[in-house]
Amino acid sequence: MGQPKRILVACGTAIATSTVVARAIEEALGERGIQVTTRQCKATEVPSLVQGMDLVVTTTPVPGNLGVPVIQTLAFLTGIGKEAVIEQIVKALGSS
Amino acid sequence: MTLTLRDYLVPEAVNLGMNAENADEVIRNISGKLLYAGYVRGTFTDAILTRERDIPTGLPLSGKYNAAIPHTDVEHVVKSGIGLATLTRPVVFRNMVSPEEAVDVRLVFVLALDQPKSQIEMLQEIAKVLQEPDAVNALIDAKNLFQVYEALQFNLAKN
Amino acid sequence: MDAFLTGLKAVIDALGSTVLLPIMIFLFALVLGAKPGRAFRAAVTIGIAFIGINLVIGLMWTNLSNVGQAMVANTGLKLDTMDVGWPSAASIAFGSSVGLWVIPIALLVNVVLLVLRLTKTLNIDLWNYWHFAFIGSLVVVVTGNLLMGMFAAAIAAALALFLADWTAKAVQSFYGTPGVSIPHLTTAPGVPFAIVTNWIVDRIPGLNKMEADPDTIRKRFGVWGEPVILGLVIGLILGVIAFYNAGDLTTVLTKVLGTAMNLAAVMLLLPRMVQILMEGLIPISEAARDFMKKRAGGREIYIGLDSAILIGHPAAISTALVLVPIAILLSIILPGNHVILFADLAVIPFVVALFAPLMKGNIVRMIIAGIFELTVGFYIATSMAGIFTSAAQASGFKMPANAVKITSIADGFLWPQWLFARMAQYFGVIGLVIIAALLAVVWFFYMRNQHAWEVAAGAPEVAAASAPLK
Repeated sequence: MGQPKRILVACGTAIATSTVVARAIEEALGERGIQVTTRQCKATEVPSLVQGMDLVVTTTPVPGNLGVPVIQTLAFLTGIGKEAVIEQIVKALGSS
Repeated sequence: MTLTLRDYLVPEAVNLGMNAENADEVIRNISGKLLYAGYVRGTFTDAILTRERDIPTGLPLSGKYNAAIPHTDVEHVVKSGIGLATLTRPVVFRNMVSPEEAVDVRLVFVLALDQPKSQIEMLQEIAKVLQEPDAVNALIDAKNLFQVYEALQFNLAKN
Repeated sequence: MDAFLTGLKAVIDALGSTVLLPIMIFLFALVLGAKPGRAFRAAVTIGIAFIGINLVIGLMWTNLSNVGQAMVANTGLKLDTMDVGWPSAASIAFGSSVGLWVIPIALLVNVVLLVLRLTKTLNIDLWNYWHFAFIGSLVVVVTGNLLMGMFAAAIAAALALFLADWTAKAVQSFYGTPGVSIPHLTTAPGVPFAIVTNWIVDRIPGLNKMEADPDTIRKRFGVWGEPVILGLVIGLILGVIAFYNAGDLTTVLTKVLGTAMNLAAVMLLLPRMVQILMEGLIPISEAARDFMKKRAGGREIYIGLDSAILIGHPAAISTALVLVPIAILLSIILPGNHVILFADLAVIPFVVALFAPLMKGNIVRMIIAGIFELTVGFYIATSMAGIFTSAAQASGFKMPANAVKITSIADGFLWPQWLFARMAQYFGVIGLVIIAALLAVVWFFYMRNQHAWEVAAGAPEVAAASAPLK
């Protein structure tokens, strides 16, 4: 199966939203048999922590050109478009 | 023992049917109540206002109404608690995921959290509430705390 | 729908019972086929009667509250659960969303049961529907589930109808109020206590033969036994106990004599107001009877009213007056009781009113039954105080300054409220289903042998065709 994919979960304060999003991602991907580890951080910390990550999922805008796919979404908080975003994440992980 | 949203909701920091001009007013009001009730430090209000300006928390939801979940760093929090405001007319918050966008908000949860990782269940409850248009509607229509608890399906019999 | 209900409630509140009740009675009478002129006159008379009844009850309430509160202050009692009166329960009832829904829910239950011929009562006492909402709200408090609360309110409405039917003949014959029944959840729960007390007292030699109804008292004591004089004397005694230390001699005399006169006035005026009510009600219930004969094969229909019409009887008033100091005494001596009586002392007449038919107005027996019901009530209220208090606070009810917890006699002391809350709390929906099933079983046995049940509740052995007005 290979190493678990590493996802950097970012939000404004690394407090509330990234916690919920990280757990939601782990559960959603776990249901599809995809192992992931997540790490939470603030949006401002993303450039310094993105080394070695496979994907960044964030609720607030982060700087571009990180060399790693970035998915910006509220779907794990609002529920809107959650399935579509999970597909996006799976695809992004598959291609790295 | 996992604590839930019911345990975190601070009755003194619940303001229903508020008529506010802007996001700052709502945030100040609820933060002030949290301060008075001993949940946050004096620095909380300015910190949360600043945070909201830089990294807004407006959330467009699937139903009729939208919400916002302002919060700030743990260092401004004394003990964890959640304040709630429902608004009689929409107040503009900026969209969390695209800050240039305005979101008309009628429901605001002010989060004072000091250990988000252990409060994950409670945060997931908030997310669940926001994803349920019926619960959101019921909260906005609530005229007193009783109906808030009803909307959130709380069991009030703590014994 | 919510907006409609809020609007409806606003209309009901604005017009008030004094205007809305006559309008409803008028419409009801027209539907029954009464001539508009007669219906109009009857409706206005009934409205006036209720205004009078409420005025006199208000007088009684003020005096009884003053007396009771002075007595409590005199005993220096400090318990942590304060009786703040029925407004707290009403606040809880309408604090929850069940409150608005209770009117359509209870009306629907009533209509369904009428159509199914399971009840004879049409409960037009809309203001007291809030007692059903209160039970529903308690269930919401302990389960967090609004639907269960509404389900509970529906069952409560049915329970009230059953209790009304069961006691109707007793009420009609004893109080001389034909065609009326009492689906009131503060009063109806008293019936089992009366039945048990009767059973026990019947077996106590000496006590079982004692006749202590107002007529006997009048015969034994002559003018001293007249209800008005009884009211005066009891008022004097209560006044002395309450106000002996109210200040200088003038103050004390004023208060004591004032209490005595006011309570004597209640003894005389309240029954007179009820007579006026009956004047207005008789054409309506006759119209109802004719209607039922023509359209429904002579089925009886009762008009469900507020138990205010019952407390005009000297037996009920006397019993209630004597129970006030007894209740305060009980609050002191009962071990494990946390409740201090206060605002709802004046509700005691409503609680004991249904003892009278069962006990033939025997004041001594009624007092014993009252002691029994109050004692149980203290423990129920103590046990439910936490739930009651958090629900009231959440509904926006202003807690009095020195109360840790609160309750109310009218709804916090009674077994139906306790039963619904605890069953829902420990068994959820199953608990409510069990209550509904129990009610159905009891109802079934009642329907099979209505006459025996009604006699057990105080109806006369030989059914009177139509009881004459006293």
